[in-house]
Amino acid sequence: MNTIEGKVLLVDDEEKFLEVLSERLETHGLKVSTATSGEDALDRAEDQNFDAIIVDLAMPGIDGIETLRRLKEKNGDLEIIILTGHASVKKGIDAMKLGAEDFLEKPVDLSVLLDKINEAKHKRMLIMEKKSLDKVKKILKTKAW
Amino acid sequence: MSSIIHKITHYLTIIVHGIDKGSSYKNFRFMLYGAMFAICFIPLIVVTGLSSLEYKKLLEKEEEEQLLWHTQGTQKTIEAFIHELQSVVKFVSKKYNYNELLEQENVSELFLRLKDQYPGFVDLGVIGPSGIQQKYAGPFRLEGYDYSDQDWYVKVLARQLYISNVFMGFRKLPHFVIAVSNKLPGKEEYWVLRLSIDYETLQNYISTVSTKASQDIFLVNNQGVLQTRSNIFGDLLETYPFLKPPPEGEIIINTANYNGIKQLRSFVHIEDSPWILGIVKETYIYGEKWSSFRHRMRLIFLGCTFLALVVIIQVVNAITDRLREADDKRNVAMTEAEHTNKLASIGRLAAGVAHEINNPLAIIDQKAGLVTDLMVFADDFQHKEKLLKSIDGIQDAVERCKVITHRLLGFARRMDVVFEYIDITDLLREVLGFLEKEALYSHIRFELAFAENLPMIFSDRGQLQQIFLNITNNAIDAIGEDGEITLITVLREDEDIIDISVHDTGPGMPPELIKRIFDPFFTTKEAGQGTGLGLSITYGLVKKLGGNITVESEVGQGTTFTVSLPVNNSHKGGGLNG
Amino acid sequence: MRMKLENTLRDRQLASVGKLLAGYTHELKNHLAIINESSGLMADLLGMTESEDEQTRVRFKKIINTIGERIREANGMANHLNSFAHRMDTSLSSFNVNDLLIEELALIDRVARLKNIRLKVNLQDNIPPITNNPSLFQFIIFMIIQELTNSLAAGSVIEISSHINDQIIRVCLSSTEPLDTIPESPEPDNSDEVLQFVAAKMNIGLNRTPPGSDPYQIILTLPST
Repeated sequence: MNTIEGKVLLVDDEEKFLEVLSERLETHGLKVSTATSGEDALDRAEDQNFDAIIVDLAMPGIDGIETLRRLKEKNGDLEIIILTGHASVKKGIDAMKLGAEDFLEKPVDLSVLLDKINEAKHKRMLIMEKKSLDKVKKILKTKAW
Repeated sequence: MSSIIHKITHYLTIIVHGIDKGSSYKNFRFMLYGAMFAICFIPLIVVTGLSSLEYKKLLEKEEEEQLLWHTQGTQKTIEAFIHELQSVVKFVSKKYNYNELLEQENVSELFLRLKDQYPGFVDLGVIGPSGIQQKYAGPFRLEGYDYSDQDWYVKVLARQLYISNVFMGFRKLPHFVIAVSNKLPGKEEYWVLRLSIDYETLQNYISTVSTKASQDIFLVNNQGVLQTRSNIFGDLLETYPFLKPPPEGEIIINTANYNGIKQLRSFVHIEDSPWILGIVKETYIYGEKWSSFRHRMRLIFLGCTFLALVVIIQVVNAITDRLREADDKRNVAMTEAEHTNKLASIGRLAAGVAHEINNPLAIIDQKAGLVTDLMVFADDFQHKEKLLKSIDGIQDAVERCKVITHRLLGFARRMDVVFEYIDITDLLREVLGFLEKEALYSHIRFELAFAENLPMIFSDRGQLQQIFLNITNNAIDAIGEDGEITLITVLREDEDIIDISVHDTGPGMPPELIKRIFDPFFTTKEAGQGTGLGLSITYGLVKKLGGNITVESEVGQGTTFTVSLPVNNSHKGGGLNG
Repeated sequence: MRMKLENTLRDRQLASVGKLLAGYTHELKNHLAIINESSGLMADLLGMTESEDEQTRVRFKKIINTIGERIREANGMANHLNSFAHRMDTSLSSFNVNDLLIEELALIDRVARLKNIRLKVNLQDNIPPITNNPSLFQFIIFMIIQELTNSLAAGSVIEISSHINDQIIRVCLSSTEPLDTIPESPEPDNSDEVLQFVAAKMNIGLNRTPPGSDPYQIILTLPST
């Protein structure tokens, strides 16, 4: 069984789904947090660092698109994957426009989801590396000795 | 014409088939106007034209005849006048002999006497056989004047009587001459009496015979020189350029255009004179008869046009409106039918899909159950708890899928209200199929007495099912345990109605209950067993399908519900709510 | 005025039906996702379990595979229904005739199957998209297939084919056996009239071969522009 290390946040109003999917992802080595609403997700994202956030579109309270927008507002570096049963072309485009990493339809093949998480993680790592590299460069430039 | 009809039928078909609404109505209206105008105005114009033409011909003929009469009359009067002049001259020449007239005294007296009676006489001459004027009475001194080589002298000798053209002569005054030759007694020699007459005499005479019937009367000689004044063609001795001398004694009439005016001209010779009588009349066009005819014609035409226009506009509008109305109605009906059909097809499609989804769900459910069974017998192992939980999750989700799919199915069925031909026997068997198990558990038998060869009825299957499910369920409930339900179908052929009665061997109902049986919320069932809406809904459904439902019951004898359904149901359901 | 109101009412009703269907597919997909993850989890767990006899493990694997297949099947249906539902409120859009045919045939395959009639599909590639009313197009196809299935005997085949020739797309529905009579739908209503009405509304041609011809064909002519 292939495993990935990383930290993901699952956002879905269907608790049963959260339960099963998080258990599955955990068996593949991921650390999984869950949130049952958009508000909940925003709180979680505040104090934890996730490699990827997986968001459903249709949720009571603030919906998936709004959650995506607010998450991106807070931290543009967040890697967000939409996973929904309510797929339509228009919503997919909306989500991608708002900076979603990917748009997956329920039910999803776990290996596909894992791949996407992995991709997201790598992308995030690259960004982090680039950021720290930029920082180092900056330091090197300002403090030329 | 036929092409217009073709076009109209073309537009009619377009409209009937409901394509391209707006413009085709406009075109149709336009074409209809065209056709109606043609139908009204072509005959009107033809009739007007023909009657004008006929009337014109009539007028022309009448006019020619009138002119002929007029010419003849004028000719006669002028000839009479000339004849009178001739008579005077002849009389004088007979009364006096040559020798008497060689006396100047006599001549002068004669002239005075003549002039007294005929003021137009200008002078009088007596010419001897040699052609020399022997005696003369008048304002000039012309005695001894030699006429022997003059044309008129030669002619008078030959003809005895001669009337000259009007000419100026020595006197420089227009006049004409009447001369008579007389034989000298006992000799082969002639003397001539010659009278000059002022042309005014002639002119006055012509003026007096002029009437309103003609515009111009004049005399002209063979050479086309005017002998009297013409109102139209000029003064005395001017030339009338169009003369075609008529044959002796005949009147010729011709038409001509002069200065833009159409004229009828008649010409005839005046007997014993060198003159031709010319009468000119402007044609009918300028006449009163024609103008009043035209006026009346115009009034009639305008009146007809106005009437026709009013009628055409009304008729065309009425026809187009009717068509549009019928078309609109049809469109409403078609849109309605389209919508109902569409909803029905979506319903059927959704129902199909629901079944399609139910199948894999059933398999998943069954497989999950199989796993549970396998696990129950298996020893404990590492993740048994978690596995069982997963299976629970699966079964739970499948259950929820089934619930929503079931809901979808119910919804889909409600959308699909379709009238179709239904074999009522089949339908009843189908309904009983639903209830078989329940009846079996309650020891209730079904007795069926279905009439054979029942006609198909045109109705809604779903609603019929509902009706008979309700009634039969009701019967099962009424019986409770142990009993018999008899279903009988009968065709009332004279009325084209099928009666379906459902009889149960239950306890029956007292009359006061029967009265309330179709009231909403009425129930004989115990609380919780039914809402009581059953029979009132059934009643509503039967009514909606154009049928009737009756109930007969007696305590201890059971109850019979009879549903009567029309075979040809003209009562179509549908509508927005399906 | 009244007509307008009724039309709006109809549109609303259709739109609500569309929403309802979309809602159904959404919910269904959510549940299918749970089943999917649960069965996936089972597979994962089985993979991690060591002390299990091979026979049972294989059996479980097979069961889980079957469940997976069925999930895909149900999901495929749900997807078709979903796009169908979403299309219901569009009155004019660009679409590919073949795509719509495939989707619709998947949805109504069962109707034919119940009558033991096979739907054979023969679509020409490279048919350009056309702009028209997709839901009316599907409605027409549905009506025709329903009409054919109602009048054909069990065991017959309906072939649905699409062709393009000279910028004109033809969708041809033909039955392998000749119909003796004009196909009589069980509703002796004005279904053909409605078909023609809808075809006229879409500005497409709808022609039938005379009854009794072999094969009996109904041809839709769609100009592609």
